[in-house]
Amino acid sequence: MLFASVTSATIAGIEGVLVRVEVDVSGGLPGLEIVGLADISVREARQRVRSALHNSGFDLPSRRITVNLAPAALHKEGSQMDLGIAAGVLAASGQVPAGHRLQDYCFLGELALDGNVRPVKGVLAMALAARDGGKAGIVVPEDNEAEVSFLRGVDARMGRDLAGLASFLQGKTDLPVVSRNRPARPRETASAVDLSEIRGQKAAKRAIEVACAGGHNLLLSGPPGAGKSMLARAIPGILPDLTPEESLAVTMIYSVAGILPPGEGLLTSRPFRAPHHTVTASALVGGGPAPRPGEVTLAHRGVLFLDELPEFPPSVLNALRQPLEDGVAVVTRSRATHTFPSRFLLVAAMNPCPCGYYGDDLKECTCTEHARKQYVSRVSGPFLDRLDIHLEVGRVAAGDLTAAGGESSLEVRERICEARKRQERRLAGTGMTCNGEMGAKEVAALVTLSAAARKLVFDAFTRLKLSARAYYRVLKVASSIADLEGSPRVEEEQVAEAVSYRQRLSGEW
Amino acid sequence: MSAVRDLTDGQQGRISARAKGLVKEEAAARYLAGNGHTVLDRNFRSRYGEIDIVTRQGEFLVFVEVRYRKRSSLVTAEESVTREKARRLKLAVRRYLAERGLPDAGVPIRVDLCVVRDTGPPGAGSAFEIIPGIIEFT
Repeated sequence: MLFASVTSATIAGIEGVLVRVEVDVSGGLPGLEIVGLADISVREARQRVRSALHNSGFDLPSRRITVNLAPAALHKEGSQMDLGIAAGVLAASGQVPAGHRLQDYCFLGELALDGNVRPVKGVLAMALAARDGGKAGIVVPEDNEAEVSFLRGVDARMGRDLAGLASFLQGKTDLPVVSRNRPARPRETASAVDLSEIRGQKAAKRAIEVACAGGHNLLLSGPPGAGKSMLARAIPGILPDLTPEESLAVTMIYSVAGILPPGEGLLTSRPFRAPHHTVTASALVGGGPAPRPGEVTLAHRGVLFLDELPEFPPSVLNALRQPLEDGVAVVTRSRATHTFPSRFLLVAAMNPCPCGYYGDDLKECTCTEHARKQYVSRVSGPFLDRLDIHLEVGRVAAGDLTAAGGESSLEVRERICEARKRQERRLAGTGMTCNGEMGAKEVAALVTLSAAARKLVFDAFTRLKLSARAYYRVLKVASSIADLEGSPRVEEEQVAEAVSYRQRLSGEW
Repeated sequence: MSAVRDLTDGQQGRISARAKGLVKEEAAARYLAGNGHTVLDRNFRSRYGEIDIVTRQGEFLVFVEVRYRKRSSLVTAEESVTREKARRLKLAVRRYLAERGLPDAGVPIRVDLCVVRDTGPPGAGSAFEIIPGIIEFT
C-alpha cells in the first residue's frame, strides 16, 4: 500500500469542515511534504509527526512522502490534523492496514513529540461536521472528552497516544469510548452577583427586569460607586436558562475560541463578557487574517457589558452597530468572509460627565459644560438610538444601605421566564424568541395597544421627537412590560414606563 | 598498511588527515559490503564536495558519508555533520543523480552516516555504526 486517504477536519469561522488527508509514498529523494493551503501550524506537523512516529516505535519511511489536504482551496489551520496525517503515513507505508477503521473514523488531535495526543481547539464543531458528513466515528484527544460527551449519533473515542491509535487501526485493541451524560454544573454558581445583594436601587432593578424580559439593550448612567457594574453582573443570573440549541451554539463558539473551561461539557449558563475599553474593533466584532470570533460572538445568547462607554473609541462602538441590529457579525478579510452569530444583550455603563457627579444629589460636579458635552458626545446618536432602555442609576440612599436586599435573582428570573414564554407563543413561527429581536413588521403585526396607549405613543412621538426606530423600540419595551404583568395588550401606563426609559436618550445631553 | 605509509608527509613521519580518511573509508566500504550493501561508487567528486561511498542495499540507492572520530574527540561524528555539510551533501547527491541517473525509475534514495570509531589504541581495530536516513530533501 503506497497510498492512503483518511479523514480529519479544520475550522472555518466557527464551523468544522472535513478535510481529506491523502498520503502518497513513492521513491526518489526522501522527505515529507505537506501541500493544500496549509498554514504554518499545519506544516509544522512534519516535525511532530516524524518524532511521534519514531518515539512510538514506527518509522517514517526514507522515501518521498506527499501529504495532500483536500479541498485544496480551503485555508487550513491548527494542529488537529497531526493525528490524521500520522495515521495516513502509517497506512500508506504498510505499518497499519487500511481497513474499515481507517475509513470510518475522523481523526483529531495534536501530536506531542513522544507520541502522546494533545487537546485541540474546536473539537465539538469538527465532531459535528464528522457526524453530519456521514462518518461513523471520531477519535478525539482524551482531554477534549467533555465537549463531545453529549454528542449523539457518532461513535466518539479517545486517543491517548499514537501507539494506541495504531493498535486500534490494526484491530488489536479498542480505544476507550467517550463517557456519556456528564452531570451539568449546577446553575447557581453561574452568576457572580445575586439581585438581593444589591441594596436599594428599586427603579434600576425594575428596568433590568424589563430589559431581561424582552432582551432589550440597556444603558446605565450614574455617578461612580452607585452600583452600575454590580447591576450588570447580576443580569446573567436573572436571564432564563439557555435552551438546548442555544447551549450547543454557545459551547461550539467557546470550543472554537479555545476557552471552554477544562472538563466541562455543554455550557448551560449564559456568557457574560466585559471587554476593557482599550479593545480594538477586530477583537470586538471578530477579525484577523483568518477571521476569528470576537467578543460579540463570545457574548452570543448572553450579556456584553461595556463599562465606561465613552472611553471606547467611536470607531469601535460604531463597529457594534451591525451585530446589534442583525444579530450576526459579518467579518470580511482577504482570505475569507465569515458570519458569526452575535445575539447578545448589550449592557453599557457610563458616568454622566468626566468627574462623574453631574446631576448627583450630594456632590457637586466640577466639570465645565464644554467638557461634559464633549465627553457625552463621544457616544454617537445612532449608537444610543439602538439602546432601548436608558437608566439613571442614582446614589444609594443611606437608609437603603442597611435595609434588606429585596427579591432574589431566582424570584425575578421566574417572572422573566413567564414573560418570555408569552413572547415565544406570540412570536411562534417567526424564528424570533423575544421582543427585542422584533423588527418593525412584527411590532406592527403583533403588538396590540389599548386606545389610551395608542394616543400616548403618538403624543410622545411628536413631543420627544422620536425617530422611527425609537418609536418601534418604545413599543417593543412597552410590550415586554405588558408581558411581565401578564396583560394581553399594552396599556397606557406600560407605554408611559417605556417612554420614561427613553427620555434621556433622545432628549438633551 | 604499506600504501598508507607512502602517504606520510615525510617530514615528521605522520599520516596526513586525508590519508587517514581514505583508510577509514576503505574500512567502511568493506564493512558495508559485508552488511548487505553492494558498493557502486567511491569518492564521487562534484563542485559541492565528495560523496564517500554510493551503494545499493535492497531496493535503496544509498549515499554514505563516512565520519571518523578519535575516542578523545570532543565533537561526536553525528554532530560533525553540520547544516552546511548537509546542504552540500544534498547538492552532491542531486549532481550524482543528474550525471549517472537512477538505476531504475522510482528507486528510493537514502543518505546514511557511517561512523567509524577506534576500539582501542590506533591500529587496534574499528567499530562501525550506520545511522540511516540522515537527510531529507524537503
